[in-house]
Amino acid sequence: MTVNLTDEQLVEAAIKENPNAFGEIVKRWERKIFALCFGMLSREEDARDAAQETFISAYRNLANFRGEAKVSSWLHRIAVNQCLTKQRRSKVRAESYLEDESVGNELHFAAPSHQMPSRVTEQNERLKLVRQAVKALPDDLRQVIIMKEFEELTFQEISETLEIPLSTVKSRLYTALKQLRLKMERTPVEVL
Amino acid sequence: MMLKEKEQNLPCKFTESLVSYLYDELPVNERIPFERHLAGCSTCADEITSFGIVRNSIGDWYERDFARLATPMIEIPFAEMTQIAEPTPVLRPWLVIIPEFFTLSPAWMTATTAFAALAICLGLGFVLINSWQEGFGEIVQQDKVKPVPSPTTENNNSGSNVSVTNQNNPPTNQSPTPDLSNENVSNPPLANAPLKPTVKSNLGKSQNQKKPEAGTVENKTNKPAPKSNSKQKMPSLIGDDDDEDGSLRLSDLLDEIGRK
Repeated sequence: MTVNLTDEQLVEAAIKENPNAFGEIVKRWERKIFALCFGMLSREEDARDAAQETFISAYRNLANFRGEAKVSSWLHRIAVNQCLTKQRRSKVRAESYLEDESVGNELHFAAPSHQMPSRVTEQNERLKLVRQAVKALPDDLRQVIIMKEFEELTFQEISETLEIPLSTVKSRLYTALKQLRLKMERTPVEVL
Repeated sequence: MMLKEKEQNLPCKFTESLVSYLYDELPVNERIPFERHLAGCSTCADEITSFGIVRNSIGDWYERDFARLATPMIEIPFAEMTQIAEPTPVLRPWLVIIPEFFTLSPAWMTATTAFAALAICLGLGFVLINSWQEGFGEIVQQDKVKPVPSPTTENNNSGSNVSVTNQNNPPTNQSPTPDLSNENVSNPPLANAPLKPTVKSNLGKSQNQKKPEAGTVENKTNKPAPKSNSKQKMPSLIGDDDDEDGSLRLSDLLDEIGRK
């Protein structure tokens, strides 16, 4: 029944009669919100928490949703705020995680038998470098690059979500890519 | 060499188109001109290539770190959160509300409000000035009224107080302080009575220019204890005088010794 409704109709239903209608919104957006949180926080546990808190916060403030923006934009905005808050709280912890995680991932992603060990090492190094480079980006640039690369949102959708002009989205994306390229060039991957 | 590097670092005017092209969001009518530009611009071509590498790296990161992750089970505790929070009222700043009020309301209401505001301001100003003046007078009197050391000195100095206070503090006659007004309420005729002589004595004393010992002693001796009404006013004035002149106390003591 609720499957055919739009996000806005679901919100209306959740406010008026059927709180469970919000469950449908959760189903529709949980993966994307989780992806955004993961990209922003680079840690699975934190991303899960942030995603959970995003939907709880959205449900609590459902009555404040005025329908001026899309539900998806609204959810993304809440998620970005949740991530920024979480990041501020656990900044030190997140930084120390980068090293641990890189080691963990190397162990977890054991080299497929058909690949050369040197190539696997190179890939791991490159991934570590990307993670660190993305993590080092300023918040506003990171938001844009994650929304584009992880969620595959259009420029227009990013513009609506972050409430910034379309040209700003493009320029931020350009700057983010340029900074990432510079960081990755400065620390070349050692090929064994 | 440096110039070449600078030229290479300068962003091309097609930057926006470059990003849109990279993400395949460039409109068809802009695509062909941009591709033509790309064929001749090494900066843009290099950027497209290097940005492509960056994007691939991020894609790899996504595939290897995120794609494997299961979507978390988001649980909204509907049972616990039975009520959706009421919409929070939008708080608008006063700087917006006040001008809006004056533009929307009719002229008569604007005028009335302005008049009322003016009246309130004036009233407040008047009250503040009054209270300040009263407070100032009180402070002046409190400075002058100091606790009398012993009951004996109080009695002795009672006569001289009148003249001294009026000398030192003529403005108090013009604006009565709360203390004085209280006295006036209790003994209206008596309270007014000493004021006139004091003014006179004030004038007289100002001509003579302080004869503290003689004047005070005279007062004491001449007036053993007749003016019980003015007693209450005396201490403050006497105290002040006493503080200024140490010999007065000595004479008091001598008097007392003599009496005994």
